Amino acid sequence: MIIQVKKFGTTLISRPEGRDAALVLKNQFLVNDKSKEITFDFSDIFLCTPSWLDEFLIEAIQKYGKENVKFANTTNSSVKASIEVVINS
Amino acid sequence: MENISHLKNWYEKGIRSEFIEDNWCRTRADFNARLASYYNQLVKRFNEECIFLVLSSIGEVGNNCFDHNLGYWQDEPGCLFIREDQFSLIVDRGQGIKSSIQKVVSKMANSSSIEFVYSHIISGRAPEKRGNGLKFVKKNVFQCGISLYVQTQKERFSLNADKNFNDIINNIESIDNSGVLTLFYW
Repeated sequence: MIIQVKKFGTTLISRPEGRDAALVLKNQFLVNDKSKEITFDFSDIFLCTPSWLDEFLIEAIQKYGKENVKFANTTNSSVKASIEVVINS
Repeated sequence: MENISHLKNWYEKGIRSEFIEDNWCRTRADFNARLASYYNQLVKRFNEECIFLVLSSIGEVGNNCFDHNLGYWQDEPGCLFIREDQFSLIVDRGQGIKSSIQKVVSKMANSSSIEFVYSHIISGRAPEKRGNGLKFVKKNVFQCGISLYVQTQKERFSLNADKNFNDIINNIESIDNSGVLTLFYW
């Protein structure tokens, strides 16, 4: 399954907004998905923080496992650095 | 730092001038919108990698004002966000770092609460176990060669300080309140 993160916003900063996005992700995208892995596509993201991403990824990590959560188009430095912090912590 | 007296009057006593009103973020959405537009002001100062690392670091600190002070604002909720070409200042009249983390950390030894939150995975929002935003900020400060200064209650903390930065710090370190003041300088 591929998720276009920009559909949740392009300025991804606050923890509560990350939590809101995670609930939508869980209830509308993940609930019936039978895939073994998920890819988050970060194309066109302007800004990202670890706080937003930490909240956003939690449901996907619980469902697929950290090793099956993949990332694409992470050229924005704030996206890349936030992923490193959240995944490695 | 021409408006130091306005900053002092507001931070210490809650007295609001036009300068404070102009730089005031009443809500998180207000802060985030101002942060996004700050890009246009800084785009010539930083390379493509660091501009987003610096903006996301400022975003982490600014959003912490709103995340950690619910129920603890000294007066009006919100934060001051000053966006200059050479520095950015984020200040709140909330509960401060020590008060926030004391609810989840019983043993902090003798280390400063600021140093502690910039070095440990810790969240003031018990029972949450996550919280690595300020380690991210610290890493970006070194990676992009900028300076950071934080003060809360009687504690003072700086990273990558040089003479110019210390001159600025000298102007603000005597200002005192239990909230949090964070200065990014480049």
